[in-house]
Amino acid sequence: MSSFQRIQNIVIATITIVISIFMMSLPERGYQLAALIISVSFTISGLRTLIYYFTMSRFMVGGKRILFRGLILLDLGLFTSTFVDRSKIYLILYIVIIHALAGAVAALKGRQAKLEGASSWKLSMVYGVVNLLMALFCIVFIRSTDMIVYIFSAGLIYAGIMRLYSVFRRTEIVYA
Amino acid sequence: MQIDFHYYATYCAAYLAGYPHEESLAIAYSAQMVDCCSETFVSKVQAPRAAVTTQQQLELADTRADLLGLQNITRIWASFHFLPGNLYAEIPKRPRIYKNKYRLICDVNSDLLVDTVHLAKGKSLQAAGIAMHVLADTWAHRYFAGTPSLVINNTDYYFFELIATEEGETERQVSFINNPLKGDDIKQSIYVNSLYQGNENSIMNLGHGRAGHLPDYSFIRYKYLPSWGQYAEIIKDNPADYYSAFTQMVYALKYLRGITDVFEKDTYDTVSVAPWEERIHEILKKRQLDASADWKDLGEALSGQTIPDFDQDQCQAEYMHAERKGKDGTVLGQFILAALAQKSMVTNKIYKSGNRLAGISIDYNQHGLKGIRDYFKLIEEAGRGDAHE
Repeated sequence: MSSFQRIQNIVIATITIVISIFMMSLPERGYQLAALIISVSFTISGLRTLIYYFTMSRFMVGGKRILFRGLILLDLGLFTSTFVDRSKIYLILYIVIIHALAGAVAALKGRQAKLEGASSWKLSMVYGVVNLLMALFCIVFIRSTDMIVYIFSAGLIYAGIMRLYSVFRRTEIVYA
Repeated sequence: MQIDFHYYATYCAAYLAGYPHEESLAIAYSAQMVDCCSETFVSKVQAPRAAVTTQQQLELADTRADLLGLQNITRIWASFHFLPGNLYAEIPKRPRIYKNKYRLICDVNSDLLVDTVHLAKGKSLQAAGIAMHVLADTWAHRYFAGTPSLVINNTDYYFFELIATEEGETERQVSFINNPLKGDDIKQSIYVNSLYQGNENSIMNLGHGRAGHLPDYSFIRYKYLPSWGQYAEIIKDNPADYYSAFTQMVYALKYLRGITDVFEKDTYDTVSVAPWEERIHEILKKRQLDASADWKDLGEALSGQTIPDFDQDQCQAEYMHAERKGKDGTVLGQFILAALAQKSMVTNKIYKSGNRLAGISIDYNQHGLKGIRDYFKLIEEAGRGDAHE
């Protein structure tokens, strides 16, 4: 990781964690902010996909598909930004899917590691179960805006911490 | 390639190169071990994490696709399974990020292959086994890159199996399915591949995932449009390629054993293999998902000895029960040292070509003790001082 990439990651991680704490402290406003973050994410994703098309995928066999994907994502981002105050269901769906998928994959990996006798299974299993529980909480507390914001913010804080962790990890390979 | 070639065929090649039975088994064991030494395995035997030579499907699915995660994937897959064909390949009118991925496309007879074989020279049988795995995979995995990339590794509906019949050759369109619970159906040309993902760096776009296991089957011939090929068709003739792989392994192993003085590109020992050529072609062309039994028969006919089934745990206890200082002297310890050396060498070559997809490599001679601690083992082995601070 270059120095620029390290600084970039530290800045993004810090902003992510600060915003998450703000959302947790003011769940009512935090809910709208969370919806706005998802909407902006779609828009940025659409723009990035279009850039990806013009720089990379237009050279590949069947690359036009990426162009259409970029346009649809951009459209979705712009569309959802028009009703951030009413998009609770999309926010819930998004959080449930993200946590359920991450949880299922980690739990399966943990199970496989346990079958093979590796000690690393506990960490994977705990991570998987926590994610699955978070997805379940979202469904159980579907009427509680506060709970959804807390879960969304917790996910963001985790992502921020992992980003910081990767910044300070040793990465260089020694060539003897 | 899979266990039939990496274990049984490698045994045959080693025996034909002049290694005795026990040594041939050791080489074959290490060649196959490259497909087993996953994060889960090293965690189980408490070996250095950097010695990982493969990733299981679930490990990949759980890998963070951030910069460091992608560099780790690239180090593993480019070093052991998709050795880059030309790190300085030119392709006009492409951005740098595209070129960096393009330059990681695996191909045969590369400078890196020569470096790989040279690296194993004078080292352990385990180092020879790893080198044979890498060599063999260049033939099976050519045209795919050992880094996640949609623009390089994707395939589309234009994918046909070429089947020899009594009337001549026929083409049958390959049907790909994404359900890993279903096996490949060679009678209907229905094969399992990875799911299409429009994300450039999705692990679904790693190596030959989008082409399923086709590159790993020795019998198959197929044609397709590689994502990077600007609509130029590629015909992949696995029986011919696998035969080249086998004869090149015999040649390389003779070099490692000291029978020949040099290892050069594009050279094959067809003479030693000649008495068995017809039988080998027969095995390679037989339509079957696993040719282990046939290769095992051939190996046993060659040496007159029984070849035991591969057991990845056979050397585990020796390593785990060895004292800390004695671990490197065990079979698994030697394998780990050789794996670290191979990964370190390939990463260094990729980095020095100006490509950072495999991460940063620091030269110990210039910069001293920095970087991932696991690799200090290499410095210790080379006797350049106490690597542990």
